Amino acid sequence: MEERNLTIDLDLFDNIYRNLSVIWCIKMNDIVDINGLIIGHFPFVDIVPYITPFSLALVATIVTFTVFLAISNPEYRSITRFKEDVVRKETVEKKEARFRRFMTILCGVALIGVVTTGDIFNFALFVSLTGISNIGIFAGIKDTHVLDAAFQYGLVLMICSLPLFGGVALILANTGTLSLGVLGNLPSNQIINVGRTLLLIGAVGEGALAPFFATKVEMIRAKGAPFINMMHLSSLMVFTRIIELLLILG
Amino acid sequence: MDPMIDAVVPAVVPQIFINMYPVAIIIAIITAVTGLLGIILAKSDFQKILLIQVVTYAMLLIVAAVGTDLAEALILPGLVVSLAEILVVSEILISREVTRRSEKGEDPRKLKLKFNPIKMEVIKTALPVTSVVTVLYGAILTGFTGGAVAGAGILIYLFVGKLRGFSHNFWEEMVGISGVAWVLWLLGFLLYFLNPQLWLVALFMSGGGIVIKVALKLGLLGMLGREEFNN
Repeated sequence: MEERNLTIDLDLFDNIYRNLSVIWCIKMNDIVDINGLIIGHFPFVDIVPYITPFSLALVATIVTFTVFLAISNPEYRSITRFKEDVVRKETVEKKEARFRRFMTILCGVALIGVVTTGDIFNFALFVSLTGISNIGIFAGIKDTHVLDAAFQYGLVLMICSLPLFGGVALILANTGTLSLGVLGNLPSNQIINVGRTLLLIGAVGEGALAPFFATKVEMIRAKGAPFINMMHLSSLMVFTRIIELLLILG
Repeated sequence: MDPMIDAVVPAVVPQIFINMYPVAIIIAIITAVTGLLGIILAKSDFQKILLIQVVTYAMLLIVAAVGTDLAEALILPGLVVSLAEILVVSEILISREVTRRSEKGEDPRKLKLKFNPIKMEVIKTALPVTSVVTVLYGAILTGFTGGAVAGAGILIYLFVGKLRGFSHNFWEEMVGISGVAWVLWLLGFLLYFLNPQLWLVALFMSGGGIVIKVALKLGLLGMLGREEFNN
């Protein structure tokens, strides 16, 4: 009796596995409609990162940008003051610059995850990782004003993890799956729409998009120019990807 | 009944559990609103960080309300993300305080934080036998839950009474074993993806690995509190 149960389970598993790969090869209607043909995907049962011409362009941008930032030196900022006859030069200390470079590379890796993942929970995780590494770039700055802004951004990050993961959980509860390939074929309903709205609010907060941009503007006044540009790229990529995701889910 | 629920929820799930889902969501929304109100009313920044935990709990509640194995697996990353965010924000708060005080002319090296373990009576008077019972129960449970229970047992052993038997070196070796168990856990998962036919081996590898890893990690937390390791 036990033996028979075991074989049945394995058959079931094989069937599910085969069906999923079939779904990923042929039936990805929404994703194909929006992004074009799928160039490649990694078949990890239902966690399927995929690459389309659209996301390939995004990945190329991110990689180029991150490599440029990783090999660049921090800026020299010259400061002149009224009634002083000196031009002072300020820059970032070597240790701090190294930490910021590490955080920039981490942010780049997280962004690649954001644009290629095919699983909405992984999307939420990567977006929060982007937010955390964005704050990490600013954590070592010895400037009270910038640190104040970073603290406010941190509060927004933590509050917005609620709608982000909440939206994912609502979609999971309603459809029973997290995979974009399956979700793209399902018809939309009211609960999925609530989940989509929550996802949008969460991503807007984590990527510091429009209403929360004020904190970011204050943070960008910090010294150490090339690394903080990563924040702009992360905003742009999170924005692009969340629009694509909302279209696929709808 | 709704055809969508029929399609998603298996027939074995009783109706009462399905009806609990909206209740859980409403409770989560109430929790979130309470936390957000607290953040609005809070005066100091430190209070805000403490109250923001309530919002995080609401997030965990919504994920947990799904109530499947997958939801159980999703709670842990959610928890880790919120913990990482809290660490980052409190680090920024500390560095802002140090910057502020050094601008006033104080020496920032004097502001270094000290480790002050809490002195609680119950730690000194509890029965050490409790730890044996807890570790045994944790070993029977296995998996992540079992690891947490067994780890609590090791914590009790380390907190209660004096050091018996195990030396400093022993605990140092435990750190290594914890790392090896973690690798075993990862390999188990990898095997599950690469060759699903070997699911039983993979299950035992990851289940056994995680029980040892979590138990020893919790135990090592307790080790930090002992005086002889702090010199």
